[in-house]
Amino acid sequence: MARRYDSRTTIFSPEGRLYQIEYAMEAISHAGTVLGVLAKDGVVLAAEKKVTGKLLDLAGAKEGGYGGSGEKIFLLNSNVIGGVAGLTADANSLINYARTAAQKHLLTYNDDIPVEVLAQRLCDMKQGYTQFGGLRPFGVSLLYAGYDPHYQFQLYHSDPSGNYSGWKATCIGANNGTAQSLLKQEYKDDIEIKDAISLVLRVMSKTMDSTTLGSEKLEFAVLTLDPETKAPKAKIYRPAEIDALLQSEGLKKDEDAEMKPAQ
Amino acid sequence: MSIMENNGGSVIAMVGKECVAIACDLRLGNQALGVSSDFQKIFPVTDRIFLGLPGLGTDVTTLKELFRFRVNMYTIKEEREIEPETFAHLVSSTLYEHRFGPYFIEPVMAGLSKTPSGGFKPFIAATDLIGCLNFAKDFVVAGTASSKLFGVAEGLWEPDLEPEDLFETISQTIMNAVDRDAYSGWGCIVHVITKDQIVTRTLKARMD
Amino acid sequence: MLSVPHQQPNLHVQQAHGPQQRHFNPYTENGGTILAIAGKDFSVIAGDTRQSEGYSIQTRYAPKVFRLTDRAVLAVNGFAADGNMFVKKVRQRLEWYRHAHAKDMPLRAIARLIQTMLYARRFFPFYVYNILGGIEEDGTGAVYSFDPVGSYEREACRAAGAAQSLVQPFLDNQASTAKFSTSRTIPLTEELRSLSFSLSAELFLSGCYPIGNQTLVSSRPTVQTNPYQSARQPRMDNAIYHKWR
Repeated sequence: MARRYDSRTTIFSPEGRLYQIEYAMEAISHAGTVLGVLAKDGVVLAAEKKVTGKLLDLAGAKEGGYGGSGEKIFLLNSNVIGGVAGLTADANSLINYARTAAQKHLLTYNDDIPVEVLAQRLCDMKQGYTQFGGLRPFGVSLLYAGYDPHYQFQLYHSDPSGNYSGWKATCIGANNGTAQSLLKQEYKDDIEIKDAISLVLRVMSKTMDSTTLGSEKLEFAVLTLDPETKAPKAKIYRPAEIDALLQSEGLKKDEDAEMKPAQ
Repeated sequence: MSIMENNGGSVIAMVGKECVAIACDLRLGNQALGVSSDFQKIFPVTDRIFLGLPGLGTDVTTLKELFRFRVNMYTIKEEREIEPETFAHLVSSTLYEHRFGPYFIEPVMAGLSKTPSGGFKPFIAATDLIGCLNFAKDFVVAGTASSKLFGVAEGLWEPDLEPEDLFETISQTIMNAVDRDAYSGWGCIVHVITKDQIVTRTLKARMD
Repeated sequence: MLSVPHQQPNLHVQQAHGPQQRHFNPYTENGGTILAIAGKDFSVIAGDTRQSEGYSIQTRYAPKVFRLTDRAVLAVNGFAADGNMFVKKVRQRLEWYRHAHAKDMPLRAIARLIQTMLYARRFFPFYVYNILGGIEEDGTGAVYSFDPVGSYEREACRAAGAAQSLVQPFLDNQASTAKFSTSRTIPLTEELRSLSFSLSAELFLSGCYPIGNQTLVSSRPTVQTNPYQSARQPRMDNAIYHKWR
């Protein structure tokens, strides 16, 4: 019955639904998980890579991580990191738009773009694709992990409808229900960044599809404040750093290693 | 009177032995009226590239912010710092975009570019207001005192000056040149860039 | 001429012009640069020898620096015709002086004379920037510079002409004791001698000819006269000739 109302974004169904948007969200539910946790001294993002394999040429990615060499986590501005779930091509387009929007703000106001403002810019654009133009919506959900002097550390989630909200901890992509409930149980307000990192990695290891947990499947990023300059510091972990981190958390799982108990 | 001469100001860059230096005066005026003695015209682009922007004051500020925009986008997308030659072409194409309504600036660039072997090579460049590039091997000058800068630089420069000597040479060049130009002066700043550090010094200059 | 069509006798064809004004510009710029530096007991004057009009070179060898007496040399730059004529007139006046006073005119008197000669033409000036260099009566080196209507001043160093803005600040740096100091001479040092020579050499390398000992007027009165009888061309066996080509 939904058939007649789903081929155009600009039409409501009789039940008051916009099917194209719902189908977009369906696409996202098959994509790699992205998890975000807000701590009192920083924000943590982790993501599961779906595009992996021996034949994948990651030569550039060895040194990378500066702007987000991966497919999931990207630097949007010096004070905001973005994590994407959904159609990769759509995501790249949105990332580019976000980066440009952040620089435009900097050019106009000589100030880093506030995190919520950046989320709004993207959402305003995404909403446009649901109301006019006849073009399909973006099949992407984003998590924005950022800092500004007005509201300090923040975590936002936006979806293809153009809606966004602020979160203390949230998850998008595959298995996000499981992850979300795990986070609800374990999250505490005033959590510190090192505990948040630990929490994120533990939840990832439980919700990720793969049996291995290592840098081939995981992307990781942290946004903190530099203690001396008081400026936001975005760190997207390099593969070697991710492995080291997993090792120190006791979570590194290799294909042929036994399951080590979490410490 | 030419728009380029309304606010006044001059910049020079010189090549030394494994180092570069770039210097500017600090004056901003409204024709003959001096307005500011702290108007810097040289801005860092990366750790190893400096951009000097002499000319109309409002365009100095606008272009510095416009290049910050474009270099930020470059850095985020390319995940590395922009190289001096690439930046020079970015400057050139940005200016040519406004071929028939230009920015009234004649940019001067100085930096250290990476060689394939991992070392650093001194680099300077300048463009005219619509983006014609000039890659000189010795020095580049721009601003209201450009002809004076040419003369003194031609007399004082020699190749392979060490950083301390290059500092002396560029300082003498800019100070003597701007002292013969009514629209430049009111203080000078010199940056000397080597692979390990950047030394910035303010010169004690005539304030008349 | 357009032909008048017969069918349209009303069509009166004529090349229509608006009011026209003829204007003869009596002056032109002939380019080039001159400079002079005063030492403690010597003075150096140099000038390039290119004479141009616009982008055309009229000649590669037209001297702008002229010996007036044993102790005075005048360089003229601006409008060559006025420059050459002015030198002639100055020389005439100096000859009158020699006959009347049985001695050469002292340098500072020549300077004052040049002022009066220039100011006499206040309302149709000689378009020349003069630099007079030489030795004063007390043996010190001197440089006097003039504007086209006779304003003059004794200075330590001065450049004039097309490259004035390039040369003057360099002179300020290298050839003044202190910049804009009121001291009007510089002590003779080895650096200054070599600087003077190299400055002259620079002008020489850029396409002109140093006038040999004629430019270096020292307190010692023995000065070689111009080895070339005609001012047309230097001798061909000189290495400079090859530099020019």
